[in-house]
Amino acid sequence: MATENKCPHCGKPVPTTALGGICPECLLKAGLADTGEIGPGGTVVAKPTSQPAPRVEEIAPHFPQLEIIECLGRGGMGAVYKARQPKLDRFVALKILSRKRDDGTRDTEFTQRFEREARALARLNHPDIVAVYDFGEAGGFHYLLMEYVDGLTLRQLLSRTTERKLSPEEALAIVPKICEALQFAHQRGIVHRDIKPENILLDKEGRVKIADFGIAKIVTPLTPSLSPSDGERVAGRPGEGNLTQNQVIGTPHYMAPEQVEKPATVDHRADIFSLGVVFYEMLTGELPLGKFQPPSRKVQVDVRLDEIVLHALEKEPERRYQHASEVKTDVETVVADAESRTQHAEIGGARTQSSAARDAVWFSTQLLPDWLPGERVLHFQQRLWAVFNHSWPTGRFFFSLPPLWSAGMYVTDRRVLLLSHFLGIAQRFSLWFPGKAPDAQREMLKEVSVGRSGLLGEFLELKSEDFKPRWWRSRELRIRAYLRQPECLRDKILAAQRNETASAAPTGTAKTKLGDLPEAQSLPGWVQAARWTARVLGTLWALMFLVFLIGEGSPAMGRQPAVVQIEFAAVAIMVLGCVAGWKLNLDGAAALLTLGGWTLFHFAEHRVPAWSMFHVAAIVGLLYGLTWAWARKRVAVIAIFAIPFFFGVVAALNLTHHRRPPARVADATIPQVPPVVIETVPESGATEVDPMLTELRVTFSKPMRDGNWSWVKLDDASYPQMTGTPRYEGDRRTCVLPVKLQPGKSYATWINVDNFQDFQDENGHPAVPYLLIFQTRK
Amino acid sequence: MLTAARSDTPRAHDALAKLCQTYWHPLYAYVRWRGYSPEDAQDLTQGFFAHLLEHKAVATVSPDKGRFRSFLLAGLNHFLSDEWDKACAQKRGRGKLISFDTQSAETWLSQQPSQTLTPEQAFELRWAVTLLEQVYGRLAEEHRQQDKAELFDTLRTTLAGPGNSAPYAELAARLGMNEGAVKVAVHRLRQRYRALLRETIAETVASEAEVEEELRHLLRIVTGG
Repeated sequence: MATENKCPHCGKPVPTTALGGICPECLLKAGLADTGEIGPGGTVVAKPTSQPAPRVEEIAPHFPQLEIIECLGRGGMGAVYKARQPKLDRFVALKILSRKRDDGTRDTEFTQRFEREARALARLNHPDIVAVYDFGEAGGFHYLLMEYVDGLTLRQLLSRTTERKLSPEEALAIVPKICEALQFAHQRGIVHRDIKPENILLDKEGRVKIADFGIAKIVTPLTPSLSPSDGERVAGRPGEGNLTQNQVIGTPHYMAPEQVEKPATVDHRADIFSLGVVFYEMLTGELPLGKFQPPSRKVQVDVRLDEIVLHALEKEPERRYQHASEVKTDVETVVADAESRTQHAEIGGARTQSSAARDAVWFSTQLLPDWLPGERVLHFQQRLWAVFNHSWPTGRFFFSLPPLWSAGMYVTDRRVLLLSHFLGIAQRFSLWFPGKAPDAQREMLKEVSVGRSGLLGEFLELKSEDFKPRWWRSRELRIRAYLRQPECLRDKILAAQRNETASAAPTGTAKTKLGDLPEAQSLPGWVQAARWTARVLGTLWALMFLVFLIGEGSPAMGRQPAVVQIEFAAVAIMVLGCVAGWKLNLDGAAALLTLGGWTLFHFAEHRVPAWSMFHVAAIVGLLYGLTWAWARKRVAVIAIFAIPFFFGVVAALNLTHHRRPPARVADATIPQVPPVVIETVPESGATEVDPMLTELRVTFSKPMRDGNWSWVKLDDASYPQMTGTPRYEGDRRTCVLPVKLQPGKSYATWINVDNFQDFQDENGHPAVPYLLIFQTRK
Repeated sequence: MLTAARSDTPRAHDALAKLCQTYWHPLYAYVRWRGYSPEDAQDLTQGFFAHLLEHKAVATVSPDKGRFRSFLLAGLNHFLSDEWDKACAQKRGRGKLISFDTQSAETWLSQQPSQTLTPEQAFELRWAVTLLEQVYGRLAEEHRQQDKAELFDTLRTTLAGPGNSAPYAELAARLGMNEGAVKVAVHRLRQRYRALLRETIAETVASEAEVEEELRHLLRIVTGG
């Protein structure tokens, strides 16, 4: 470790470091540049750093018709600049292939080759091939003017993941497009010669574009013994000719063996080999170097893909695929088989949950009106679907949730569609009730799932454009685009969307539109208390009610099925209220749902006990509403909240009213209240009554009208044998019935009952009915 | 990413201590370049770390606020201007928090062209070198653990690029391998080096996306551009 080493590479002095005498500058450069790698056949890639690209200012004077913006990149083939054509107002890519030699002479051979090839390239017109607009020579630079693709190279896409590979489905989506483009060019006699991830571009719409077609042929003379012109590197074998550095153009890993060994004989089959390398890399994240393993050994892919990849990677061109279109056909066969198998598996239930639920979640996000807080609802939906997909024992009930809930969103815009949706569901509801096998349930799960049911179909098949709401039309386009995506990309779309919504509404600007609250510490104590009380109370209540409804309230207990269904729906709405309160912080929605469900329940039940547990719902709704109203601080909001609450209270009062006595005792005068029995002889319920008793006596709370009485039989057997007519005693408060009793017998008689109400006071108020019942001694 | 800046946990504390241990050299170089004597510079650097660890200053830095490098430099500047007097009175002569080899630091400093570098440049330059030393050290350690120390010693010069080393044939002869195998080994060595380099940089920046940017920045520093 010398203190004053010179770096053999850059010639600068190397300071004393712990780097073992290596020049830090060169070390860092080597770390940055992804070049200088060892390829097959012992070739070394040209180091771009040794051949700096012309600076923008350097080339700008030679291209007055262009505004050169920036250098996009630099490779063994030259440098690419982003430029603008002001006249056409479009971006173009300017590729500079070579510079004038230092001595000013020109490589005529190169010029001829360049013009010949460029002309052929300009004729290549295919959507998946980067178009060549123009070519020529300016200021000593040979240039190509090409289509500018705004997107990523496949290399960039690969390097985004840690494993540097794509999912098999993504790879399978890309490869056929590359094949198409290659086939198109090959048919026109053009060979790419440098297929590699860097040359495969993916634009923002996901289209595949192949760049640099045939450039390798322009810059590479076909025989390695020719001396390279300045700025060029030539393929060669180690120790061959005068090329001691063994340098080749591009990235040698992707080159077909014959490209290195016999460059003169290269034909389109070299591209197929390179495609095989790219394919292998996409699938496994590695290059097929040395004795490589087939892709299916490294990742979980169809074994038939191994055949395709290995066939493309055959060393002898004759044994390879002969046409790119054959690769495409084979890949597409595998894809089609995989898809049909996936669908088959879904019907069998194996993959239903993940893909159907994923699609449904995605679709339902598209159905949301704009004013709903997307992110929250998305989370809510996912929870809901998790429940839904889980096939609960009480599955019947939970199946009803998603349609109800999605219907809730429809009602905001198109009632007609809502109706048609329900008509469609009604048919399916024939499955809803008893005794269907789990298979049928699973089928129904698929049917009802929003993404695949007639619901979406109804939307998509509507012919009349103006029938669709405006917010829907843009979504429909998105949905159509989504449906065209392969399965594998859908997860990513959903994930991206989730990120978007998460970042779009960081502080709740969007979600406050519904009137909900953030989990704010700023809420005053009483509001927080109200919210928490509502949550806890609402949950307890909902659980109690569910237990009741599933147990005592079921049709098996003699209740009408229709009522049970309505009540389930009511509870479902109120449970949604709970969820909205707990999980979404939508206090307003929670209030409305709770009160709405409560009202619906009352309709179903017709009558309500004086203070039943169902009134807890009103309290829960009230507390939620208060929280919400406080947060919004708007009269209108309070009014919206107050209306259902008001009607709920009125309904409750009305329904409970007729169950109570018409007058309140405290305010009444004695003449206005009916008489009641205050004493009887014998007492009602007595068992050891003397059989020798000859009179039954009943004493009322006030004087009775003389001559009127209603001793009424309960039945013939229990009625005492009368020995005379009834009579009143002096103050007319006691009525006497003469009887003859027998030992050891039960007697019963009504005092006023049903239509017999002749025990009346002087104002004609009938006495409150009373049953006198007793047993004589033996 | 920058565990040290995440939170006020023992783990963050340990991570910070480790980073300090790693990156004392650039800080020392900076202090020296500001004109302090080696003894003062040593005390100051120790004092700065004590200050950092004690005040958990890193905990207040959120990961999105940038790189560890900039953070340390800013913190050190602040420390030098405000805290020095206080810290000096209290901490001087205290036990060393971290051990450092001032000898090697001084050697390095003496080799730098002092007239052209600002203290900040010296700091950044030394930062880059320290980072490379980390990477290099880890690479060597990895090879040593895999019993490939000899291979590493022979091939290490190829890390900086092909022009930097003896021809492959010579290397192959030295190692008793064939030339193809040497090429593959060199390729692997470089790949591992690049991965480690990015990994190490990732420890000092907030997000994966910044790694390449930081790498280019370091290169600019080292090339003096």
